[in-house]
Amino acid sequence: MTHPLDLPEILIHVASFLNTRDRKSCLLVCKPWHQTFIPLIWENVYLWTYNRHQWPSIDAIDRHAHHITNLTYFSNPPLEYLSLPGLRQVRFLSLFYDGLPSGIMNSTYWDAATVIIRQNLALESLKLYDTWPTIDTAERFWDAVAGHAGIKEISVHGAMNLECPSGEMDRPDHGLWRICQSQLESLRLSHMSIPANPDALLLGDDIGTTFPRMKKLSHILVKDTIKPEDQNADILLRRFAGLPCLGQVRFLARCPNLKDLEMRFSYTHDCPRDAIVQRFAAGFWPLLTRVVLSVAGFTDKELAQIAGSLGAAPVEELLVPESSFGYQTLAAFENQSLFRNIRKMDFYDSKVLGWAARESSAVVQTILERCPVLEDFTANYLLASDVAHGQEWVSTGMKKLKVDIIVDNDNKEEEKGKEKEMKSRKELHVAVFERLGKLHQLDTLALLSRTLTSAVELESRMSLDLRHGLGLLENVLQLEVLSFSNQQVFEEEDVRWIKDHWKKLRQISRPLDADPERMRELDSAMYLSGVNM
Amino acid sequence: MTVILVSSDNQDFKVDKEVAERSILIKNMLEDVGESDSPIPLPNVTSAVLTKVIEYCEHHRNDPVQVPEETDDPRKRSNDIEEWDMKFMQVDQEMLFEIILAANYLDIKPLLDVGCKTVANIIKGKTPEEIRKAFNIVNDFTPEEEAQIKKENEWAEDR
Repeated sequence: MTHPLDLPEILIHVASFLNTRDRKSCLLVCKPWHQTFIPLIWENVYLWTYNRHQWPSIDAIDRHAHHITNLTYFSNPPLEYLSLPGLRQVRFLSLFYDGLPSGIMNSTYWDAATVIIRQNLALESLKLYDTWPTIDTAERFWDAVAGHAGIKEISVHGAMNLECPSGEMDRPDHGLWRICQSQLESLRLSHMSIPANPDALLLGDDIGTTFPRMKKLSHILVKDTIKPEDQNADILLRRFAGLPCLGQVRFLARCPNLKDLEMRFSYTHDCPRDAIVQRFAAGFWPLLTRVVLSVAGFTDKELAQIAGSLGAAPVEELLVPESSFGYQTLAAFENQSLFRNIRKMDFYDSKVLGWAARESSAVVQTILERCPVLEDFTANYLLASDVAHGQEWVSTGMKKLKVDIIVDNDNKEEEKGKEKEMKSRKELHVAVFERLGKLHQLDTLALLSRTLTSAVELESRMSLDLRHGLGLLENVLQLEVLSFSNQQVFEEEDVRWIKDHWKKLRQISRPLDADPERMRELDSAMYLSGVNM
Repeated sequence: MTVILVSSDNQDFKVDKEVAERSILIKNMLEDVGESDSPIPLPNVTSAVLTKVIEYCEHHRNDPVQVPEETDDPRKRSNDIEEWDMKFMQVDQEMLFEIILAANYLDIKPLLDVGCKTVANIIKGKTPEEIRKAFNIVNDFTPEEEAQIKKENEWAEDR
């Protein structure tokens, strides 16, 4: 019989389940194993300044350079580590500055990096992190990048953190813009600046076809470049107070075939909202499947305009935290039948305060009633009364649900009195547990209030115990993470039920009980069954 | 609808088509042949192994078809074997290897995964000498070669 471990393809399959330590042991087993495992040890090489003493010897790296597919340099390695003629298979190259004074890159470094780019025809992805070529070598470096036929993905972080030659990117024939025009499919720019008016700089006038292959674009806190001659007060404001950066929107307008658009802003870094809404309204991206506009602060009306313009785009992910997702956006969704395809949604908004926010709850309930393939959903509030009076949820494939569920006083309840209230509370719990109980794929349930909440409000959160109907979740067997912000009063039977039903549970928030002694007992019961607290 | 599989020692196995089609090899064969009652010979699989493989496919007949996962981390976990699969894999090493070979030949990806995970779990935490012992492998390195390999790969960090 052939021994399966004599077959390299099976041994490699086994190796895919092993960590580096075990892979290193396998290297020493016998010669055939050595041959199979050596490329796996050498495929990833990180030359990090802090662990200099652990670097492979130059002889060894020279000998195995042809196995290296993923190479990361931190700061300024000795030239001999940069000039390796055997490096021919690198597919992912990352250049990091790690903040050490000795790490300022000089032109020798960049010339060596340029050679690596030229001699590794398999190169697909280039990452520059806080490292920009100095002016004298920038041109050669970016020329090599632009002249490389294989690079599909570039990520640049933090050009402003170094003494970036301002205006360098303003050159119309800058290598980065040239490779965008010819072949780049994915570009991520973060914590940096781009020219305020790239339209004027870029070659060609046909806006629609400038970056035809660009599928994925991420702009994280991107600002406008300031030219030295422009440093008047307004521009400085734009740079430091974070006025909306228009350059990035003009950049977006060059990418008609985007599938994945991600733009992140911050509270001090305004989003050019009007310009973005207009860009969407022009119906520009028919292929979009993922849209992330984080901390953009869109109003409900603006978000509705964006949703309304997505048209036939097959959007599966829409992450718009810190914008107002309300009735208008919901209506736009309905008109565009976006409900059908959406798999992941996040419209958590810290400005929606208190559970008086009925609109938020009504929107959440409607989404759960309408989106059949929704798997991952993050929002603010859901009132149990909306659930009780609403329709069944169709999102039965839900895996991650993060929403603060409030057991409110049911408005339809006329009669008062403690007993009646208790009964109503139980019924509302049951209504919610019944709906949750149908989400058989659920692995994460986060009933978290992320805003400041009073003790009274906390009392209106779900009680996750058998007395309130937890047993209705008996078919939810995949749960791994359970979090809540209120005090639970768990009995032993609850803990036992949880342990019996949620075998995959690895994280549960505390406290499980108010009494410290009991809490310790419950904690250790959970801990012993492998659950993190 | 049923199909007949014939093991290398000429035993016939009558199984539901749905079960047999857990094997991509058989699925493709059936598609190529079209409607036909002729038995499918599996000259690389003995009846003992085929019995086990069919048992696995019967149990997993309703599993969704595995889609190739797109993860950033190519390193996969081996501690997520289902309870039933774990019990299923409690066989002697010879049978374990036969199952892996059969899964590879018949192209049953989930079974191959479980088999390779089981092997990975045997390897985990062991020294090279312990691994050799576990799989009856002869050390063909000289002590100098061993020292050299150890030295030049020392840098690789556990990630």
